[in-house]
Amino acid sequence: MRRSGNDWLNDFSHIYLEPGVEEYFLGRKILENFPASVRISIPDYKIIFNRSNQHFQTQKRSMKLILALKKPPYLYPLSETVQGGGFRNRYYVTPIMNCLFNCDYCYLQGMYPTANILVFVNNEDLFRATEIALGNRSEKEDPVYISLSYNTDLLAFENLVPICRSWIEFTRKVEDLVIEIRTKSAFFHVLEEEEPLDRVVLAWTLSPAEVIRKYEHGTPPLEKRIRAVQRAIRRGWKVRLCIDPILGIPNWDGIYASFLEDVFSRLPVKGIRDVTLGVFRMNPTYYKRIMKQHPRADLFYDQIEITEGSVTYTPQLKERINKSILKQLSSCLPDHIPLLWI
Amino acid sequence: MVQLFFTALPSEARSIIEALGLYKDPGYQPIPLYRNESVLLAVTGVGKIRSAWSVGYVFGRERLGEDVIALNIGVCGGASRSIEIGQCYRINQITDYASGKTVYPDILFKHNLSELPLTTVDKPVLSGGEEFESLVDMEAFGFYTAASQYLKAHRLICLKIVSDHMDGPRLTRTYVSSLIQKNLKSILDVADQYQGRPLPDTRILNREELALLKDLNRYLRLTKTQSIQLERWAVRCKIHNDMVLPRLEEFKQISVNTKHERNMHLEEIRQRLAE
Repeated sequence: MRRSGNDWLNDFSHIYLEPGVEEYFLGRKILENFPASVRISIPDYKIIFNRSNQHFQTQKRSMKLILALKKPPYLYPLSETVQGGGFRNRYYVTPIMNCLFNCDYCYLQGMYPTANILVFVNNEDLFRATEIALGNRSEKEDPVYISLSYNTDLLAFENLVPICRSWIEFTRKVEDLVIEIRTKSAFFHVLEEEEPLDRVVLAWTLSPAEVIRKYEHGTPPLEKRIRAVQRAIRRGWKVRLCIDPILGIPNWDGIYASFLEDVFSRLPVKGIRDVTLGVFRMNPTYYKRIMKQHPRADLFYDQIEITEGSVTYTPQLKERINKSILKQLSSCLPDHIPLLWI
Repeated sequence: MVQLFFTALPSEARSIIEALGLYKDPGYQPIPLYRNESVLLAVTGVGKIRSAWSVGYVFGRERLGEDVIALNIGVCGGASRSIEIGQCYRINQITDYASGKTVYPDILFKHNLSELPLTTVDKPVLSGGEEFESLVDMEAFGFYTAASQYLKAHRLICLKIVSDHMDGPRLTRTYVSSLIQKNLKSILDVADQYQGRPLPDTRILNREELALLKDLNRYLRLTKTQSIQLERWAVRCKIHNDMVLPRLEEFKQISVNTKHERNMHLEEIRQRLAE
């Protein structure tokens, strides 16, 4: 018997639960959202998350949810491969590990052995750890900068797993904390009621429509993302725009030129905090793991160079991309908008 | 795709053998093995060690490729009166009673069965099984741990039919056979879900294409690096060309005597794959 391709189970058909999850507000809230899911008790999330015989891209077709309690460490130092905007006390947290979207270039498929979504429901412990980091920070004159969406797209989950709003409220209450919520989602409406706060960096990753269609599976189209950014700016937020990763696809210069012109002609400059930029790059270990899983994306087989520190485009291509993008940006963005390159 | 069935008892296997038209492979010792062109069924004997051993034996002996699913089918005990006798369950968690270890098959496709966890024990439970909460069998953990050495978690399927509440008399062969027969459609439906569905965990180059590259590698006397490059070009080409690889057989006729000749022909292949 041959079947159509539509009989994959819905995402979150199964929820794996660590003991004690139901004692937390977030745990109860998520379980309420998925009353029909099969619930399976697990002693520790690692037993399911870290299994050795999983296949990331197959699991992506029917992602399961794992609810667990985060144990220390709660904060991790932020990698140098991420633009930090000049902050010296830079961390990331992992309220959620893995993403609803499935971008071909995403390093998560090489970082984690599973595509299943892991949510830590004890957000309060992350807040406490942040307060401790604020008190103990080495560079006292600098705020603590925390990337919330480092290993996920947190805002994309907000309807199901309301974490962004609780972090915004927490940030409002403590001084010297700056958080970044980076997203590809168009879900600004879930934050509509929040008063804008300068120390909360709402950041949208924007890519040309051609890139979104081919490589950013499951993400909202460019048009919807731009409309979400416009709404955020109208509401009074100063947003970060992330043109990252820039892909060296055929005709990349023409595609990115018209994309940048389109984006910056539609967004008011006063609403843009800064722009982060970076060409496709990946940790070599993650790259090797991805290659073992037989990726179907052509970008893994094209003009890339594998060095000890990074997998990225050849220096020649990288330089051509950087020059071209910079030239394009200088014609459509005023000089006072910072450009953060990696 | 190859379907590999493992049952503990001949009576658990009978209905499947008949339904799929399997014939006994006379060359197989020491476990009975039945097959047709795309299905194998091994009768492993009772217990997790026999089950694990048989799985290892079949995988070790057969050249199965990578598009394979393995199914453990059999009867089990139901720990609670609320678990209905005769019902077939899809197992979502298997615990080894002796070691306390637990494994979790990935269930990715829709199915019509209820799901339950199961415990694998070393000795038959005849006292009502009050210490257990769900299903109890004697093979699933052995099957899963052995098969997971060869297959990913989403290719491992465990289906169990409740035969008793662990308090009754010994089961007869006819009774066990009838339970499987009654649930045969459910069992085969689950197995058939994988048919005609290339999963993303399979290689991009198929067996024939890999064999061709291996031949080219030999005829052109490629270095290790060149051989890796050739495979990468072929994969890239296939992705860019709707999963079709251009013909390269003509390069098998070429004999190479110098490095220069080798590099020249390799460049021709590269260009062909880049077209």
